[in-house]
Amino acid sequence: MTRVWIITMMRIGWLLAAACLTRDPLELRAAELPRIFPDYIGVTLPPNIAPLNFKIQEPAAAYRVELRSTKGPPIVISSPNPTIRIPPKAWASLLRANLGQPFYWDISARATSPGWTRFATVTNQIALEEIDGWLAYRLLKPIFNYYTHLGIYQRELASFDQRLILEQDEYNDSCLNCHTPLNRSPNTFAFNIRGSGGKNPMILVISNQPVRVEKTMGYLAWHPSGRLLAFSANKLSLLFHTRGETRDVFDANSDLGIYRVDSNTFLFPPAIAAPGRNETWPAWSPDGRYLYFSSADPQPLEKLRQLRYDLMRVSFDLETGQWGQPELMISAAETGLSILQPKISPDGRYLLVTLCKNGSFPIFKSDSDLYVMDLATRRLRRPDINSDQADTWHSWSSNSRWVVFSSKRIDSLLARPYFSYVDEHGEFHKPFVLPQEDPAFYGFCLNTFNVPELMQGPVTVTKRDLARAVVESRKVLSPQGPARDSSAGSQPGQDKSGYP
Amino acid sequence: MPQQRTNRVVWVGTLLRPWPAFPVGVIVLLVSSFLYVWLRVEPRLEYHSCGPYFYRQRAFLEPFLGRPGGLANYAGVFLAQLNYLDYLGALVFVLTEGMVLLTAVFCLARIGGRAPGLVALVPLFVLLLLRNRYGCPVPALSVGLFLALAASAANVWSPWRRPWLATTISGLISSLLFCLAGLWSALLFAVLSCLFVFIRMGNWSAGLSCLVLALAAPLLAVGKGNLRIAELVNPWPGGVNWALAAVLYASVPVAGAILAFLPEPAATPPVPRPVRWFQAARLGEGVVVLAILLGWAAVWLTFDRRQKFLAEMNYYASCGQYEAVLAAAKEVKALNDPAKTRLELALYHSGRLAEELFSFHNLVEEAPSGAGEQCRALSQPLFELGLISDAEHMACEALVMEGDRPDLLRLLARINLLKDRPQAAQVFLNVLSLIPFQGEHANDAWPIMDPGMPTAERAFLARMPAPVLTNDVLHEELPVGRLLDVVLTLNPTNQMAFEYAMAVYLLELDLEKAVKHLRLLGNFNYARIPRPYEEALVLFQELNGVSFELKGRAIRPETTARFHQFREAARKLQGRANGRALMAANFGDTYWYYYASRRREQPAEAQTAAP
Repeated sequence: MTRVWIITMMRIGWLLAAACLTRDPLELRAAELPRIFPDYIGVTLPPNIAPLNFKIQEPAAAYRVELRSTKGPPIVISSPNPTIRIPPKAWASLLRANLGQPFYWDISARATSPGWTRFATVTNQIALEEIDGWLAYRLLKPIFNYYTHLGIYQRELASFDQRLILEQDEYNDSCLNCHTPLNRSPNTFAFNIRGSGGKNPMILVISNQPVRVEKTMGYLAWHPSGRLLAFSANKLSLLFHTRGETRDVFDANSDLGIYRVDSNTFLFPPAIAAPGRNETWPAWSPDGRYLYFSSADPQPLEKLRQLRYDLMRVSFDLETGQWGQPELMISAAETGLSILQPKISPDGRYLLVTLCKNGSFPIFKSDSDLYVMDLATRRLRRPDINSDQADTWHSWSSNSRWVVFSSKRIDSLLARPYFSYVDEHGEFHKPFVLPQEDPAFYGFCLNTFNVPELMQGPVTVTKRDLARAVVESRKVLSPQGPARDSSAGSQPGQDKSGYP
Repeated sequence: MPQQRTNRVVWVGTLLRPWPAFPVGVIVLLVSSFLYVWLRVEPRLEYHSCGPYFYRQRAFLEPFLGRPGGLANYAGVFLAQLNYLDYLGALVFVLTEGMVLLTAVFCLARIGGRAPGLVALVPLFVLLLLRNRYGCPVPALSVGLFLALAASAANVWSPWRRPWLATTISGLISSLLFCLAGLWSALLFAVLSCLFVFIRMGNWSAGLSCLVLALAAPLLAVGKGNLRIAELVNPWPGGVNWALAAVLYASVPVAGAILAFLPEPAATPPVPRPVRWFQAARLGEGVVVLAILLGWAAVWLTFDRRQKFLAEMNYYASCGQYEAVLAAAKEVKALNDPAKTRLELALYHSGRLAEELFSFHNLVEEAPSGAGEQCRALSQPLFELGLISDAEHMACEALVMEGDRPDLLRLLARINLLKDRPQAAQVFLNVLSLIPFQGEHANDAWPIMDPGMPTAERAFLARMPAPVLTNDVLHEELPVGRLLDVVLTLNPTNQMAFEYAMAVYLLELDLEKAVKHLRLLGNFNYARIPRPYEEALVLFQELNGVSFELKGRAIRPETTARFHQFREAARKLQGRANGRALMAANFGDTYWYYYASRRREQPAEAQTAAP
């Protein structure tokens, strides 16, 4: 009898609460958008993204959110606290049913009195095109010289599932960096190990088979054929400023080289390892006929503030191995900025680069911004996706409709991955941060998201196999190449091993 | 019913034998353990210097869930938070001791078939010995030990009497223990089960099967590649004394085996009950008392006092109790680098850096320290000197090496406030708010609303001795002297920068730069030239054969006279076995002694001239 009474009272209470929460708003603040975090207002979403959970930053006693589009039932969430967690299944159904449609968010808040306030409707957009399903990134503290618990992770973008690919604790605590997939494939990729007993090998994973390549390589770029890798050989050092961003990187000497995967050889062609020039940040065009890279005259350390890189490209014939003449794409002298990290969209239409005031390491420059060049017209412009903090480490999706990049815009210190939609006219839409299950996640995360790379699927090679490739000598390749390329501008190899 | 009651009384009587020495001894031991840990070990010093720190966040729990023994470690880290207050830390220790004792007594009584008496106290003393060392994860060890003993006690007191049934249940429990508390707890449980089945049930094959089954889960985990051998063998965080940990886990099964194989005591005729309890004291009780005293002597004598003094310096420096830092510094024979850094800060804040730095002749000695702790120690004076970027550099290095410690999180929040990055400051404060006892509250409106500056931060920044360096000086490594020169160029009246620059150059034996900086002496209100500066000046003049003018200030004659005495004594005592000790006794408070000692340690080619 008592149990029935309790259940009846609970039902009545629940009905009363539901009635209160679902009562029509009394006040309409139509001109005023609600403040929410993360900023998911006016953004374009891929249909395969995880729920954009958010927190309403308007003080109130209760909240009500209705997410709706043109088809399907709306998602209604009532909550006594400002954290809004969207049911994943309903979210996915709504997005799938409304490709290319606007996506409306009606947010209401109820103060203790007198009643409900409804804010202006947030209008987002659901894109027609999906984004690649997985994102790989490195997670690390705001590091300087020392590093621990540094790892490469992958995240399924349709959910909140984050998995470890490899953490340095799994082998011998050396640094790992520059993870680079071939054409966004999760089965073939490469990354570098630094500081493993004085050696800095590269781990090459081809069709899920990892091998260690006993050759120091820096920034990597796969040729689309998968037959060779362009790499940089840099002599980097970490420097410190006494104001602004503390860290900086100085590249005293660099060249580009080519590692032939099929023959396990490397070389430093004069076209990309010119005497008297420092070349770095290689990137292949999607057809494999051009190698883009940054290039500058060597400068002493004292002139770091004047060190600016041009963007060059050079033609290449894969069959004959012939290189053309380097061609200036963007002049540092003309822009007054250093042009770094070129990335060409898979459809070959656009070149996305980072420009910053000086130097070669844009994530440490708060003025770093993304610029896009239409390769048909060679017009360079600054899309409206940048912030007053560093925006860099960008990567294209397979369908050329999405870019992901690291931005420090939230707190000026820690980089977070942002996604931007690129429409058929080449317009970049307002970016949004990688959604997290807990919308307050970024307020408690002391890790920076480094080098986000989109991938078509999850990496399946196990961390154990990768760690074995680092420490064991079963599958080791010692590439053959010139001890000293006569045409190279500097000594390649182990004397240029300091990668930040 | 009366029969059961009688049995219970008999068992309780058995467990507490020898009566009353054993229960009295246990109470005395637990009370004295509480006082010892509270007043001598001082858990808050360990909390401050070694942690570990617990974060009320699921992300903190997840790594623990992924490895065997993780949950026991998680519980251990949680219990370690109570070290924040001395008495709470001591109470937690004594409660775990009590629980370990209780379960050990039950296990030993059942396996050994007699009252365990004295041997049941062995794990308690081992725990005390482990507690003597800061940084040892005693709570995690205790939790693992307690879980194993509690499971064993339940197992050996359970009603099943068939050996193979007991073995099967033992296998299941040991697998569960392996997941909860790691390999050592599972093995301890399995060994105790093995002993019980073997000794009390008389089935050696079933007993051995307990061990085999206990190894199944660990071998499976390793075989499947989910676990590395190192993680399997060492499930605890760093700082464990392996020998003591082994003794801790082995003590109960070894004692159980000894008790079981000892000959049964001869039946004696009932003795009339004495009038007073102390009249019952016999040789057995005397042994208990003696063993407890010997155990306490071992605990007392093995306590690392130097580690405690260094921890005191660390703690008091962070609280701004600089006189206490100086008092602790005087007690340490050889200061390590972080302690030297804290000593300098304490001397500066107590107005004695210029005058008394070299009074601490333990500065001369070199002692090892962790790189992370040195970075952490350096970050504080760099911050106060206005070199906030370099303070950030050092604090971030320490954050990577030592984890998200409260002092580093607070400092990095302050640095980011000064660097006009309030949102980043709030992230550090948010993480700080996850640690129990740290009191800072996360800003719910982060990051839209300006997190502002908490009262404590505002008060601290208002007290900053030096303004932030606004010039951009590009540099490698950490050239403190060069950076301080820039600070002094911008503000020649910055006394903290001046005294620190002098300290840097004098400690680095760079007399030329130190003497050059003496030209700034007139900018400050020193009543006279601080003695170490005078001593450096005298030495510089002696080595270079030049005289140095100090704008109306003169070296006191007694300083010059003492230098002659020093030189004469150095000449006389050169080559004598006790020469250094005599020099330290007479001149240990002078810069000359420091200079000569450090020169001696440098390679010959680096030495140009010495007094």
